[in-house]
Amino acid sequence: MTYAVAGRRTPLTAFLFPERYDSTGTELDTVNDAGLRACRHYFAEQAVSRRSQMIESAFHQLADEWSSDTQFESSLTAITNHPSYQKIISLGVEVVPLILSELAATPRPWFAALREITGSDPVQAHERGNVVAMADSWLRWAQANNIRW
Amino acid sequence: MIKWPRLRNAPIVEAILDIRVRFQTPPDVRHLESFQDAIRTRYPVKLGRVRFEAEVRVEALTQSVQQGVRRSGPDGFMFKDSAQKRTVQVRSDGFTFNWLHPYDTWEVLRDEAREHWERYRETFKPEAVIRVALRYINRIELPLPLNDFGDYIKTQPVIAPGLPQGLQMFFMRLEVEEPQRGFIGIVTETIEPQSIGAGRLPLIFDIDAIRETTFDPTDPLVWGTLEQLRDFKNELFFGSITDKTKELCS
Repeated sequence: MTYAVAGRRTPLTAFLFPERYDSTGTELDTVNDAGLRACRHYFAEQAVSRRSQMIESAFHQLADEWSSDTQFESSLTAITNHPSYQKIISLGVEVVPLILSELAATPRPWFAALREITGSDPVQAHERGNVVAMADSWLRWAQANNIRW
Repeated sequence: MIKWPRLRNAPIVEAILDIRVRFQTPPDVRHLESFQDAIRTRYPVKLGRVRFEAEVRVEALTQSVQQGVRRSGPDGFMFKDSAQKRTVQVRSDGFTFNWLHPYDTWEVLRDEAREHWERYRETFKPEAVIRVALRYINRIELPLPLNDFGDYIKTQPVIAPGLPQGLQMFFMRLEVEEPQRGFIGIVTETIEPQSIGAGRLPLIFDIDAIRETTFDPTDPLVWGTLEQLRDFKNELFFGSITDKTKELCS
């Protein structure tokens, strides 16, 4: 790697953090900043249509990570404490229709997330442990509450 | 006042009127929630807002681009009508009024936005308005086959004559400065490749007209500026489309 660029002093940070320096100056930072600026503006959360795309994209990314990491996990606590699962909960009520859609397609332990986000629990005592029955309960609850998925 | 042509099939996916404010003491989330009391019949759906920020990061060593969403806590509410086509957003950093397709008229959007803004201003008493913006996200479905983007849009990426003209993909973002009025116009154009195939090529043509300055929240200039931003947005829009595109949208 060479830092020989005529007329330009290599910033000290390039030696301290060489991975940030690409031998010609600050292109990486420029690209990074321009990309970030474009991305933040394009997906500005004030735009409702873009916000929903952003949330949907984040949800599917996190749900895939969660599914992949916990597919052989038997502990429900470990499954629902997974960082991606917790991040999905932190996305708030806007992910509820997305969770319901996942639940309708493949019943998986989304119940803790739904309880946490909505503050409701429509599952009857006799249904606990039966993932299909629990999923049905939540889907009926959603219909009754006019939530579309 | 400039009389702009009215397109019968306006390609507007979303119209956004946004006013950012500064508070001495920002209202807490519970106080923001109470905003719905006055508009509940028209806006019965309440969604707590969590602040997100899209992020993209270029990793120098791995030469990869990482994308993600960064969350930073609740910052307000979105109140939606029952068809979920109209949204009033009240946040600790401002107010936004959103209209999803179908669009009505600027006058209707402005008048309703102003009604909500006056309530926001009186209820939460911001110290200053620091930014006003009007953003229109358009989706223009161009008929295929398409020989030249220039047939439909004049603000577009230009490839030098003599070079291959076929565009696989593009994402173009221009920040246009209008120094006389102190406006910034951010024009973003891209195509939706996943939608190609239905005989149409969806062109996203997104125009954000922005004025960053400080106003007294009660100053009528806030709305005068929004009116001017609407003209600026229309200058960017109508100045960029061709007669063929106007026909498509008529």
